[in-house]
Amino acid sequence: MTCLPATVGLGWRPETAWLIHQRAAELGFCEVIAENIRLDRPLPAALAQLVERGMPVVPHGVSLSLGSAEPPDPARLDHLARVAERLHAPLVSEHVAFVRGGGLETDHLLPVPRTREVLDIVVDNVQRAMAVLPVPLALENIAALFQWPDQELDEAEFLAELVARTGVRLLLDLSNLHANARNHGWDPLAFLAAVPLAHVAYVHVAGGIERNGFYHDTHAHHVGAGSLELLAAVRARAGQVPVLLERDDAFGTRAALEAELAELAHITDMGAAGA
Amino acid sequence: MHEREARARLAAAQAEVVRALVADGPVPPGFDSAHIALARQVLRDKQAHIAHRRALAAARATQRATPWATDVRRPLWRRVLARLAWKTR
Repeated sequence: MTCLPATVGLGWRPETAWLIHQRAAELGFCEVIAENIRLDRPLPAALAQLVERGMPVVPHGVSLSLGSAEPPDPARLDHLARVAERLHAPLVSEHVAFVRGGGLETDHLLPVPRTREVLDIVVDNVQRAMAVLPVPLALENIAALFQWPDQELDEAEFLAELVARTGVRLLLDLSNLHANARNHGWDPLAFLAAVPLAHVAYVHVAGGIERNGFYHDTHAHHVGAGSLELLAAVRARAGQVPVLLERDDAFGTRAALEAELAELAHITDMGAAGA
Repeated sequence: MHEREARARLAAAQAEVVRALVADGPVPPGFDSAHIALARQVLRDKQAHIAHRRALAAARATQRATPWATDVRRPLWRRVLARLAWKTR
């Protein structure tokens, strides 16, 4: 259920653009934050070059808020669709989350209450989004800072039902899964057994840090052993699935980033693009 | 009808949580107050980080626009030349 090559990829940032350009033969795809792409001006030159050369670039939205009570905003959906067209993207991704409420923005991905009533709302929101988008949609599981009381479904069940009812793909974030397992006492392997891995379009891994007994998904540290173990588990259960390394800050040396990418390629037995 | 009511219920619940996180609202009943307190801090740190990056970008833009005024590390003669060049552009 993927439209991406079975390789390792890297999140496109101005700080990683040069590395992606240099390693375009090995890195089979990349991902860019959709809200950072302005449609009223040319693409950043480095990104335009990648698109021209045929590298798949996935627009990753962070503000659609498909977990909100309101249906997705047509203007935000339109922006996401047009970015997908501009980048010739094979798919777009977003999150099972809400980011605003009561007229206030939070600039953060927040967990939805996992009840059947809310599932119906999210199913409807996702179907509306899929009707507008020109390419398939994949939804990411987020790292939850808190849990709602009185939930009816666990996260794997919620995602499995969402996939069954809408046909949406999954962007399986293994570091978010690790974070939730650590912070809320879940079994991550039980999650992997219950979630429809055949519908995973690609996987995210990112670094994080444990502070005062709470794991923070920072995207600013080396990918930890917990995430890497889950990556090996996915490899064992689902074969070669594209994996994207997310890094948003504290980029460190180029050598360190390259070593991390090599580590991911080794764990997943995925070599160069087209190999 | 049922859908509208369900959405209204969710909207109210989410508004309460968001107010607790970013507007000093009370912790809604049933939530772990330690987790909400941590979430408030994470969101505050994130906002500070976003504001910091925006300020840096704005400072860089200002410096590009008026190099003679803001680049105090450059020697005086360079700054005077740059100002003359800017004035005669």
